[in-house]
Amino acid sequence: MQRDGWGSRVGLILAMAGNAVGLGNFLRFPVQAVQNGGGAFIIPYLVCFLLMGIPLLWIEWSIGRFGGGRGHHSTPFIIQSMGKRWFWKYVGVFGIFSNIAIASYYCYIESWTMSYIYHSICRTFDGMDQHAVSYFFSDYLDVTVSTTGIPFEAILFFIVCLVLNTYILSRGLSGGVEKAAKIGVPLLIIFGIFLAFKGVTLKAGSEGAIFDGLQGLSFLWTPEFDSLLNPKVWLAAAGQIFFTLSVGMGSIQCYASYLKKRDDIALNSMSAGWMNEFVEVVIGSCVIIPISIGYLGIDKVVELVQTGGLGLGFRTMPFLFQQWGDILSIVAGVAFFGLLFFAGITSSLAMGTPLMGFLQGEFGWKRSSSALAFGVIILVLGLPTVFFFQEGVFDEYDYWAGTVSLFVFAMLEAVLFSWVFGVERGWKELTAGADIKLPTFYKYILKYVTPVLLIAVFLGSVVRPENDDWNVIANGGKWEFHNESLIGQILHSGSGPNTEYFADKLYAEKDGVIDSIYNDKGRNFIRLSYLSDGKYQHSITHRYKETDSLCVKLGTTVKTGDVLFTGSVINRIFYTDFARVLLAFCFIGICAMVYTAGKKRKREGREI
Amino acid sequence: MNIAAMIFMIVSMSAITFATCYFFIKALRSKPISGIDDESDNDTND
Repeated sequence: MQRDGWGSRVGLILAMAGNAVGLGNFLRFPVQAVQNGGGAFIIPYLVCFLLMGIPLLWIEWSIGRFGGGRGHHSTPFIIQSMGKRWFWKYVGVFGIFSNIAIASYYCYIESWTMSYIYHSICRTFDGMDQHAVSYFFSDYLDVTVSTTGIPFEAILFFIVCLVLNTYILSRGLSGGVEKAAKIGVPLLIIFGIFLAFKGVTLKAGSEGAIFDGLQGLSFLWTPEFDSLLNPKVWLAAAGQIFFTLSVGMGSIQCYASYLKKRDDIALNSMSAGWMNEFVEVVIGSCVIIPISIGYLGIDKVVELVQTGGLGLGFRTMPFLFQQWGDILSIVAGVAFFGLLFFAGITSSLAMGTPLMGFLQGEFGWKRSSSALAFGVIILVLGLPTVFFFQEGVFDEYDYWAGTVSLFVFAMLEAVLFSWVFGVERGWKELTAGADIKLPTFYKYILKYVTPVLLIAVFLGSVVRPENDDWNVIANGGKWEFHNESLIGQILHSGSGPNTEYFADKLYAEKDGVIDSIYNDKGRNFIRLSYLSDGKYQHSITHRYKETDSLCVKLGTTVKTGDVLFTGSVINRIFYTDFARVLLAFCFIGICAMVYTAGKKRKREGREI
Repeated sequence: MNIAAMIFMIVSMSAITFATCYFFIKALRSKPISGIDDESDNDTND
């Protein structure tokens, strides 16, 4: 088996920071802040960073180095080496599963950024208005349509992205991942600083802006202290800390497993963690919100963030950059999508290493073969997200692998570290070789606060009430589950009247009005706008076939459950369950491999 | 820009920037990591 390891301390820190810094730093954080009280969001956010983020980083670095010292480089046997009992290796399955499942849609987003860099350089967006740029993105996601004459463009860029990831991974940690981080992280910071400078210096009246960029910052940072009493804000802050640090995934343990007992982990983890916070809070908050508010105003941006950061980043930013003139629009497009690309690839590389470590360590695979296996698995698991993106497969992957799996794994490893392994032994492991002195009160935080906080956040996500109305606890009213709560998701709460996999009618999912029936590039669409805050401002677009019969006309007012058209319909719920089955097979498959590896170890008399 | 927002932003950003620089510089000035094992076959098996 090939030995691997880190070449330098700065390379390790940049790789760990690159693992943490991802698309969410620029697209998710500002949107979460806008939706959760502006400046007041930063208080629960930093509290969660100190009480949950840093302890989890320490736990994962310690677990990784501990397991690595016993020759394990993937979570199943790293975790078992700490927990001793046989079932811990199956807990460690989450640490491979999450990475594979997340990488399969994450690499797809990464491929969008590559494509948008190409389109920025080719000036594809020149002369497009905001709607045209938004439709361009919709067309890009529809693999049957070519936006630029490149057939199956989305698939092509996805494959190019996978080949690049596979190649870098096949070069190993010091020769591939570390080199990519040393180039990618500084570049993304430079691109980010350039865009942040443009964002905060944007002046109303110049370059087509209608507001100052500072107005966007003011909006983002104005404290709303009332929101501190809202559990929804705390849940959102804890969730953001979780995603931004890439904890609960298994990649940190895998990276740290290549360190030796005498190597520091306390200072390295602090350095990588704070670097991620710098990129997220200092740079991330100065890019998309100030720029988009400068051009569109606060009301429009608040409306746009309802659809999430991806919509704002890919449907809106290319249009805004066009206002900066011929050359600067290209530079800004390359800088923005370039920083997203580097943020993405340094994270997706980290997602590849746990599977590779597992295949190399347990089955003696060569590094190049295991990198290729990663690429092929991601391609197979990722193609459904490419083909059925609009049908919700992508969202389903993100929910189960990118949210639920991470929380479950982090909760269990926090309990393992502090209660099963023991916080005293854990503290000793953490501080061995440390280059900084850690405050001892953190021992108590590790033992009590972090596990309790994680369990509370998880339970909060399981039973999250409709409209985030937590007052229902005090008032004793009827508890309705939020569509995005774990129970709501399992019960398909948000699927409305279209509850069958295959049907001969499509029903309206909300009350609204048919505001558009149109044909675009040979595809037929019907758009239903529905009421939100008393205004028709959100819409759902359905595609129908030539053979389907419309039951509504332009301007028809519809109620939930009214028939929109008849014909052969495959409902979203089918794709949702299809995605769940795929993920379940993936998880079970990894369990089977871990079982086989465990048997093999026993046969060979290798100690765990 | 709103004064409360400005104070809040400057304090938060300064604290985070300071912590980032402090830990990164401290890490760079501390002992190097062990790196690849001495018994490594230098990746020639591939």
